[in-house]
Order: sequence, then C-alpha cells, then structure tokens
Amino acid sequence: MKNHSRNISRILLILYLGVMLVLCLSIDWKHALSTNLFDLIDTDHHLPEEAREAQSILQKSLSKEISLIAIPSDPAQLPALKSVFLQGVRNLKPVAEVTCIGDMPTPGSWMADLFEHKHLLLLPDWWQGVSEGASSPISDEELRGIADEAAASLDAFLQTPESTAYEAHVDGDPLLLIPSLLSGLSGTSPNPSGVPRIEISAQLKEAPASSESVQTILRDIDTLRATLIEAYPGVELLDNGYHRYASESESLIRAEIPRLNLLTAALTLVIAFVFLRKPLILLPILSVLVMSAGGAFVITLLILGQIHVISLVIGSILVGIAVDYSFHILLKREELQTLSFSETLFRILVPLLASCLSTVFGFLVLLTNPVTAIQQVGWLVGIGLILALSLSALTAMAMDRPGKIQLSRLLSFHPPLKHFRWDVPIACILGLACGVLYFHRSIEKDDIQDLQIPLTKAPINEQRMRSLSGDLTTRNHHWITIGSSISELVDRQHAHLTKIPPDSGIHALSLASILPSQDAVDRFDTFLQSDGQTFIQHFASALDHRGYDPEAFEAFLTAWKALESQPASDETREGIYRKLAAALPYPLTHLANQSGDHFWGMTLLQIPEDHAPVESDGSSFELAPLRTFNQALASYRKQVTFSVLSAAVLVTLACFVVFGFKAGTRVTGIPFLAVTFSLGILAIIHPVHSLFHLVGALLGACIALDYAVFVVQSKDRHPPVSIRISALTTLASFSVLATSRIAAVSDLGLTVVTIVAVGWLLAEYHKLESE
Amino acid sequence: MNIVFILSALIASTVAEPVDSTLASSQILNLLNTESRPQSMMIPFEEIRIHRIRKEPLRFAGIMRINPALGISVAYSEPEETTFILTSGGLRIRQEGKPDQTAPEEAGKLVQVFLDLLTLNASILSEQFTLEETMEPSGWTLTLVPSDPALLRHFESIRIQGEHDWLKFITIEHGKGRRKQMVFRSMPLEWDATPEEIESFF
Repeated sequence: MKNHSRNISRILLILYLGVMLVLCLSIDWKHALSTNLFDLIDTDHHLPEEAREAQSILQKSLSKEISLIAIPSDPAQLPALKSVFLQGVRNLKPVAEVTCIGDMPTPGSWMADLFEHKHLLLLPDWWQGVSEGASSPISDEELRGIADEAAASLDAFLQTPESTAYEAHVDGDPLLLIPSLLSGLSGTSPNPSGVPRIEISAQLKEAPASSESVQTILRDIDTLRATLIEAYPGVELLDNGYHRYASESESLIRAEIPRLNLLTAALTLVIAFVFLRKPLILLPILSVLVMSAGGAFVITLLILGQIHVISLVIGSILVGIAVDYSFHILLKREELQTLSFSETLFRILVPLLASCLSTVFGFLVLLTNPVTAIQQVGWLVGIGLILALSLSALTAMAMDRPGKIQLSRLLSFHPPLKHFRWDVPIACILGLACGVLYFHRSIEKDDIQDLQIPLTKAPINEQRMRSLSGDLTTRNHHWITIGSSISELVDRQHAHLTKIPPDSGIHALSLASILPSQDAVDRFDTFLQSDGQTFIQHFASALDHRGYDPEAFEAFLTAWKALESQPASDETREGIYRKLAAALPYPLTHLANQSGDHFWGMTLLQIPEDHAPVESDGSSFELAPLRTFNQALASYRKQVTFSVLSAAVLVTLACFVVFGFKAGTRVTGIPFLAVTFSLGILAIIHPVHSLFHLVGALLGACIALDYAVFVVQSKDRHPPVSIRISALTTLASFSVLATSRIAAVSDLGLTVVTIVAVGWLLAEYHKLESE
Repeated sequence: MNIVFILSALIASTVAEPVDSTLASSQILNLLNTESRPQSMMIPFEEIRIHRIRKEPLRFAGIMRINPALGISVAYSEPEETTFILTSGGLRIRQEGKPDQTAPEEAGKLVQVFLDLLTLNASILSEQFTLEETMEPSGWTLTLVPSDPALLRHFESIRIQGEHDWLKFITIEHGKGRRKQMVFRSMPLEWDATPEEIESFF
C-alpha cells in the first residue's frame, strides 16, 4: 500500500476518534440510558386522541407514586414515629407531595368550597339516595318517612362520642351531607391487617425514568431508614413503587449486557483462534469493533437523546455482524498492497457494499417501526454497520505491516455431497409446507413483558406491602373519562358507575363520588319545586318529635329556601364544579384535570381479585398499561408484517433487475428458502410468533441474502471462506442472544440463528457439484 | 373509616404559635400538682353535651387514663365503645373491629392544648390562656380563656372546678349555645398499667 494512502487513512482514523470525543462531551450522560419500560413503546393508538393524552399524563403521574410503610418494634411508638416519618419523607429531595394513609387530604380552598356549596353540590345525590324506590309522584306518606329517617340519622349520629367534631356544623347540615360524603370517599381506604404501622403515599417531582434518578431515590430511602432506626431502634421501613421495579430490572439487564457481550467476544475469539493461523490479527478487528460500536452508540444518542437498555442488549448483535466486514477486508489486504487510496476504496467497498447495503436496508426498515426499542436498534445497528465497514477499510489501509491472513484448512472443507435432480421444486414445496406448518401451529404472542427479565424481588416486596396494607383481596384499576365540561365528565362517570352492581364489592373514587349527575340535579329540582316545602314541614316535625328544636336549624332552612326560590343554573353549577376541581389537593389531584379545551378525570376502582373486569362503555377507558401495550404490540406486529413483506417484494424485484432472471432467482431463492425452512424448524421447537420473531426473520433474511449475493456472484466452485467465517461469527453472536433471559432477545436470537444456519447450508449446497 | 371526628380540625385553620405572655403562676394548678397525685392514673367520668339544637343534653360515660409518658386515653363506654387517644403525635380514634383512625396533623396543636390541660402543664397553659382563679370555701374555679384567636374558634373558655385537690368538673364553652362538661365523681385512681392495657388503650 502506498505511503500517502496509509497516511490519509491514519489521519481519517484520528479525525474520527477526535470527533467522537467531542460528541461524547456534548452528551447528557446522566439521562443517556432509560430503564423505563413505557419508554419502549408509544401509547395506545386505539384510544381517542384526548384519552391518549390523559392516559399519558396519568401514566406518568402514577409512575411517580411511591408507598412507604414504617413498622415500629413497639406499637406505643406509633404516634411519635408518625411525625418523624412524615417529616423525613417530606424532606426527601425527590419528593413533591406526601400524605399519610388514613388522613384526610390537606384542608384548603376545596374544603371551604365544599362547605360553602354543600347544599347545592350534595343535595341532589342525597335526594337520589333517599328517594330510591319511592313512587312518582312521591306520596305524602313517603315524604314523611324520608323526613323521619333523616331526623333519626341525625339523632343517631349525635349519640356517638366522635360526633363532637361536627356538632358545631349540624345546625347548617342536619341531613349530614358532609359526613356522608366523607364516609363514602373513605371506602377506598386500606383494610386492617393487624400490624401496627404507618403508611405514607408520596409523589415524586419526576418519574424515575433514568438510572440516576432511581439510584437517588433508593439512596434517599436508605438514608431515611437509617435515620428512623437511629431514633426508633427496631423500626422496619418498606418502600414500593416504580423505582423498585426499575432498579431490579436495570440491575438484571446491566448484568445481562456484559454477559452477552463477553460471551459473544469469547466465542468470536475462539473462532478466530481455531480458524485463523495468526490470531494476533484479531487486534485490529477488535479495535474496529470497539470504534464502530462506540461510534454507533454516541451517534444514536445524539439523534435520539436517550437509549433504552433493552435496545443496547438487542444492539449487541452489531458486534457479531460488524466482525464480518473486518474479516472480509483483512482477508483482501494482500492484494491491496500496491493500490492507491481511491483504488483501494473502490476495490474493498464495491463488493462489500453490495452485501452490506442489503443488511443495512433491513435495519433501516426498522426505523419505520412504531416500537421505540426496535427503532433504536435500527439506528444503532444501521449506523454501526456503516461505521464498521468504513473503519475496517481505513484500519486495513492504515496498518504498517499488513502481513497475510492465513486461514485454517478447516475452512476449506469440501462437503461430500452433490445436487440431486429435483432439488429445487422439492425445496420449494417443502419451504411452502414449512411456512404453512408454522402459521398453523404457532400462536400469537404480544407481551410487552417479554422485553424485560422476569423480576422476582420487586413483586415479592409489593406482595408484602399489600399484605401489610390488608388489601390482598383487591386490585386498583384506574379509569379515564373525558368531557367537554366538568358536568359532562361527571355525567359520563356516573353512567359508567351505574353499570357496576352495588353488591359487587367494588369501591369507586372519582369526581362523581362528590358531584351529582345532571339527572340527579333535575330530579332534585323537580322535588324541590313540588314537595320541598312539605318535606321541610315533615322534617321539622320529626326533629321536634326526637327532642330537637327545629328553629335552631335556621342556617339549613335559609339555604333550602334559597334553592327553592332560585335553583342554580347549569353555568353556576359548572363554575362551582370547576373551582372545586381546580383546588383538589394531592392525592385527589387526578380526579379532575383540564387539557386544552376538554376535561378528563380519573376513577379509581378497587375491584376484588376474583371479580370479572369492568367493561368500558365507550366514554370511559381503563388505564391498563400492560394490556394497552400488548394490544399496541399486536397492532404493530401486523403493520411490520406488511412492511417486511413489501420490502421483500421490492428487494426481490431489485435482485431480478440487477442480477437477471437466473441469478436473481438464486439470489432471492436462498433467503426465501432459508426463512421458510426455519419457520418449519421453529414450528416444531418454538411455535410462537411475535414482533420480535418477525424482526429476527427480517435480520436473518438480510444476512442470508448477503450470503446469496456472494455465492451467486463468486466464480469459485466453493463458497467464499469469508462466508464461512462470517456465518460462524454471526451464528455465535446470535446463539448467545438466544440464551438471553429477556424473552424478546432470546426469540430474536433463535430466529436469526435458525435462518442464518439454514441460509449458510443453502449457500454451501448451491456450490456443490451437480449429479 | 370514621373520619367525622377529625373534621373540625380540617375545617379549622391551623392554630397559630403561642403568644408571648408573662408566665403566670396558678394556685389551683399547684394545688392539683401535688406529689400525692398519682403519675399514671385512671378516672371514671361522665360527659354532658349541651347544644341549642337539642332540648335535652346528651350524656356519655367512660374512663379517662393518663400516663405522663404516653398521653391520655379517653375510653367511652356509653352509649358506644370508642377510645380517643391523645398523644404528642396527635389524635387517634379506636373502635372495635376497625383500624385506628388518625386525625390529620392540623389537629395536632389542638390535641396538645388538651394534653397540657389534662396533665396540668401550668407553664404552657399560662402561655396560651389567660387564667382567672376563684377560691371559695365551697371550692375553686379556674377559667382559661384562649389568648390565640385560632383557639377561640374552637372554644370561648374552659372552666375547671374542684375542691381541694379533687378536680370535679371541666366545662368547655364552645359558644353559640354549645357547651361540654366532664364530671369526675371520684378522685383519680393510681393506674398500674399492664403491657396489655397499654396496648389496648394507647
């Protein structure tokens, strides 16, 4: 190789390293890696636009929630521990809001509004409750019965010791509207578990999306634990939340990445030592791998801002594929000795580019995939392959003493087989049969949890926390309802809740738990106009009969008369609803929210474990991330199937155009048969098809096409040895992926291994002598 | 969940810091704080609630337990069993078959006032109240008027009455026709609490 070519190559390599160094400095490394499973996939496109936005907001908000339980060694410590514990959680830097389970939300303007407008807000639902089953129009006897019942309830309430707290307000609220409301709202409190404890629910300032934020939360909780133990020896502090799952998932995945990479590297080294006579040639190969993988990571980070660790795991395949280019180029170094820089580039790149581009094309198709993880893999591997190809060429040209790569004789074996006469039609029939068998036998599997290693510690921790909270028998379900106004939103929530049987054991908490439906408002207004005065007379009589002075309830009577004389307009109600909704404190914040010109509200349903799921009525949607993501995955799988088939048709046509009919048939036939035969094998050993199998099939087909181009173009009687060494390294790297504990990665690896193995066999068979 | 009790604390504004006042000495509190007074004690009581909406007062009965280290436990036995536990950590309500209900932190300062009152914490009480004493041959009366407007929202005055070292009545004047009176018909008994009793009442 001429000196100036070597110098240009070296300058370019130094420039590359310098640029990468500068790019590295411009990256926000704290947030470079994501561990959040929800970052891997977009929200559900089946939902209306408004619901998707609400779902996204609520999902992010829920991932900010953490639960903490402190269990003192001595129950007598509970009261003192509570204030220290609460203060300790409040002092945690990442924490924004704190509430103690069992305490009411912080009083504020919402409570003041509720008190001020209690009659307007709560009387419609009260009337709906007490008049249920009454005749229409209501008889005087029924009215008297309702009045008697109301007076009896007041009397019973005041006979309780704890009524002392409300007795200052009963003259304005003898129907006990506020106590009934608060009692209803408290239906969502946890059950007793017999363990003296303090439960705290906190909301973080930010969702723990990055590894850094997860570690900060864990460190802060550890510090809090140490503080509590120092003050109250023997106290136990448990915590649960997204951070626990993210932490365990991250630690498992972090262990998985080096395991996969080390295994891949080890197997590659073994292959090199076995099949290369001078294993030291591996040094430039390894430097190419490090530079291309590192460069791909940095550039992808710059483009996308953040990469999920799962994408990095899948991206490990880059190492296995990139090593092929180094082998190809270094095997050609001997003939590059006397060429100029441009001649060398032409000599190296043209044949390699033909095969490389088909693989890169496969990965570029991934960029159109709606699944974030697959897009990230597309960027990572696509960029990595281009870099690997360029850097292999530059490294080969930059070396001082190229020497000669001597391959082991093992790679030059001659299979003792021959073509037989009806091989092509039989292969085609068999291939089709395999395809049919696969789609007949395999089951669809769209599970977002395949993207992570099954967790053990976090679910056990959650189970223990739930057991302590005494709510093992129920599950929380979050629903979203949309409306153009709060009144409409509440109406829809009421409509949804009326479909739940009252005896189902389901507790609900939503804005509809506080505010009445339009129907209830209309019914109450009708009652007020026709029978309001009669009811008040009966109520006064009943109070008097039970030993009360009816005239002492003047605050209530004044409010009643005001409503009678001037019922509240819809606009007035909506105004009060909005004011109340805007002032709701944590943890009631998500009962009502405004997004643009619409409102959305959350309904929390506590559903018994053995209860059938609650069905959507078309205006309320359940926030079920796993189910939603699985549905999205299924939908994406269908889209990707279409994209892949379209790409396959395009590539086939292009092959016929470039190589002509005869060679084109062979170039496309090898990957086609490799894929269909592999499907037959998978139908027997792993009859499942998912998005990740599909991506694997795409990659496998690209690599098999790569081999097909080489063997069909080669004039040699045997397949190029570079294909053999390339196939061995590819098989090694994807076999390692097939052993991954991440189901998606394992599925992808297994599919690629099967297709590449069959593709390689077909390439070998293609070069056999005919009978 | 019985959260009705804690409602007053929710509605009321937070009690402000105690006003700075000269520490007053109280003959009556000194009288009650004799060395012979048991540290840990139990006192049967009757509670009479008077409200202008009712023609007749409501009556409750129970036993109050005071433990300087733990706080005060007010166990109502009539008309239904409910225990109010007042400690430095706040207020809890205990009812059979239900988990303890904890009053929100906002109730804490009000609870502290009652803790100071029932444990006869003279120095703190004199900071937060104007004390007025009347000594008569038939007995004594100590009237506490809150200095803090926030406390005045809860009650206008607290009057404690007794004879010698026997505290017989605590009367809370809420105003607007509401009054609460606790009647102690016997002297406090020393309470040698067992661990089971402590667990049960605190």
